[in-house]
Amino acid sequence: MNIECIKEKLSYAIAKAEKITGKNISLPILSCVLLEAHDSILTIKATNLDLGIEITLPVKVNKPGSIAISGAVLYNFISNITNDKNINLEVVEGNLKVSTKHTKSIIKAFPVDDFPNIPKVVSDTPFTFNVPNLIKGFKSVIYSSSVSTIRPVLGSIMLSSEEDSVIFVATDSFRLAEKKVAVKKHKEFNQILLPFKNVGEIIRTLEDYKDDVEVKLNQNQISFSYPDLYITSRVIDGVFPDYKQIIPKDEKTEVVVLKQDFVSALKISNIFSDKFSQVTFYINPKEKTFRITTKNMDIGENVNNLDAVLKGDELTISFNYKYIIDCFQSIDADSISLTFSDTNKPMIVRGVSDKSFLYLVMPMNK
Amino acid sequence: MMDNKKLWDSVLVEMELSLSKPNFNTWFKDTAIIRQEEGAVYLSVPNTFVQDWLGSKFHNTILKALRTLSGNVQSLHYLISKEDMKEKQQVIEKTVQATKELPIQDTYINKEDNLNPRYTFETFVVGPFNEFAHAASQAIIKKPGIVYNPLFIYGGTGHGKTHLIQAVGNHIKNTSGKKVFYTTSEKFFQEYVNALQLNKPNFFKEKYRKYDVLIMDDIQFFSGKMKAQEELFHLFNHLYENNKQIIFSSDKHPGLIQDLEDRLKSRFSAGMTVDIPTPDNESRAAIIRTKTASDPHQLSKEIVEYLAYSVTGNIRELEGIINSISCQSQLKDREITLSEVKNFVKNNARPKKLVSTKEVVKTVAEFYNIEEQLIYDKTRKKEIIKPRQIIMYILREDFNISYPAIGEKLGGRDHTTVMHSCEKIKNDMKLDDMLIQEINQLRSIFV
Repeated sequence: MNIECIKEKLSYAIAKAEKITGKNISLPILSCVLLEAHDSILTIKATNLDLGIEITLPVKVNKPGSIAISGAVLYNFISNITNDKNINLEVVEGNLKVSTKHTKSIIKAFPVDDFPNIPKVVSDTPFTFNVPNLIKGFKSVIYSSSVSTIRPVLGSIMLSSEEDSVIFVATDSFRLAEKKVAVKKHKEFNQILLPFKNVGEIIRTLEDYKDDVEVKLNQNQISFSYPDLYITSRVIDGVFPDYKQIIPKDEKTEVVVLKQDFVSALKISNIFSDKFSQVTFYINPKEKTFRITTKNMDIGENVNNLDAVLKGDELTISFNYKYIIDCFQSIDADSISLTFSDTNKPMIVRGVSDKSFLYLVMPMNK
Repeated sequence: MMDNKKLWDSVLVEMELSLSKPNFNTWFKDTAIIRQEEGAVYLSVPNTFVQDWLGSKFHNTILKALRTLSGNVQSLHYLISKEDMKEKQQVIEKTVQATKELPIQDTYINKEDNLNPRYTFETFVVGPFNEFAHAASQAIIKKPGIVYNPLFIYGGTGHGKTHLIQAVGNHIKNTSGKKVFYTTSEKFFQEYVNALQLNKPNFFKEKYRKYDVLIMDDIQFFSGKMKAQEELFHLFNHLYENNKQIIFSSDKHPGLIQDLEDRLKSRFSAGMTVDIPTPDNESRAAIIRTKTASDPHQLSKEIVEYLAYSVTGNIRELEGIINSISCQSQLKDREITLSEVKNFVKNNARPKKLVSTKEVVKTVAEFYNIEEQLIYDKTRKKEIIKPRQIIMYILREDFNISYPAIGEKLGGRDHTTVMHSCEKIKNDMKLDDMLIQEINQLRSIFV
């Protein structure tokens, strides 16, 4: 193999591929990127056996061929070259020689045959998806996924289609985030469950793209593809819990408060919270009181009174600060509404006049 | 044939010898033989990568190893295992969780078709009482949409209707890949109302018309819902004309469902109408044996027989009692004795309602729309005699009242009259299905 190309373009592609490589030391081939050059095209492949990526790049191919080398080494080397525009990659005695005008290095290669195949998803019914919408949906809920691997379904983000929107949901059983993204025209699909770790990588990979992406789906794999990019992930074969039935229907107490006020008050309160990050809300609509209190034996205690519009019954309820604070990144509205139905039922957080996002948090045990 | 685990373990030993440790661990971890069929070996693998890799790199080596160990292996297939099939080896850490959990339950029901994979033919017990229904559904599985369309299954609650129709759905789905959909009439109605509210009736129509097999449970709840019936009527015609299989279940014969339009009644009866009556004693014993087969503590023959004879309610009740017994035996970690079971059944049995003779007479008279007093009178009009005989039969069979006592209470009749009446009803029931229906309906009022 012998190719020449613009260093910037190669560096950009290798950076994307290198993120996906496996960090598994026992099988070094997974930490490699596979370079394949033929017909004026360089294909860069990487996989960690959970995700797979293929990036194509137009290059000048002097001699076709392929090689597998450590992704981290290649990326570190190329990204730190600053003063050269062009770069030359050549296979010399089985290893890769990377050279520019001023520097050259030999990178040790691994047997190409050991590199795993990246599965091609075959589907009769591919559909397209608007990427900014997709990423917005993912980002609005991803923090709610469970990091535990005991229940794989909870470690996933669920996508389901409704008539003119796509719904993204994630939950770790203590809180749940749901985001509806309006989509003009799209094909109907059934529930898709994506492992949330893979979603993080998918967001990173697709973030620079603005055009619609082609999605193919089968029972085990999903793929997102552009003419120059192909990324495939495992999908979780399971059924997402029927979360709609746990959204409380009867609201007994409602608080409407400015988001900024509430976030600041929570952050102050949290300084004095105990080891469970417990924050306690006291709501009394008759006395027009909305108070957040925290107490820590070792540090001290704090009381915060907030200006808010209150409705319904008097209520005292405690939450884990960490579970509440996460959701505000997904709410664009200036004021938020908190609704409660019972001390055993979850609190609902929504942006006022924004029906697209819903967040449920369970209270703490007394 | 060697047992799956043993065979695969031996193959793994060979593979491990010829591969580096990381290589072996990466590609052969979490693999297992899940079944062997006529020389074909099915291997479960954790993901597509492994499937590709084994298929392209090790296929021949594995096949060769399999052949040396077990002579008749012809082919090797890879199946990607489901997430929940993998053994959960992680120990659940008991951390102090201060926050309550959302009450989410893992649903095993598939959203696409609403079928519960638990209901299969393997767990369905066939006895004399339901063999007809079973045979009809087997015929449908072979030629869905061609024979017996629609299939209408009716019978009392807990007789296994839902199990049977879901098993048909699961079987068709798994073997032919046809689009199956299971719903209850209540859900169908809800969806219909929602569609109307959202002003999207077409969305609803389209959805149901694309299925190859439509299964609708508890059709009796359509009674009185005229608009929904009309929608069902059109849906039925569409599916029927396109040779799509339709399966209904109900607790009554379609002819007896009240406030159901005649055009629907006639369509329901057009294919095959099958009754699942109350299971007989032998079938109940068979059901008990199937349900307890996987329990570590087997029930003795006497207990099974005792349960089959004494718990005469529906299968659901029987299941409830079996569950409690197996729970007890697990708790005590020994087999439960007959006397314990007897005690248990006594405490858990449904209390028999105490019904007076007068009430029986009143109910039956109301059922047949005649004056109560006429039953006690000496009149020998035909329309009075039949209810009177039915009353005698029910009092004798269900309430165990002696012949002379029945005669005395029903206007001082001789005990031979009562005996004759009971015999007559018994004989008539053998010939007259309508009579059986009527008596069953009456009985359900008294229970």
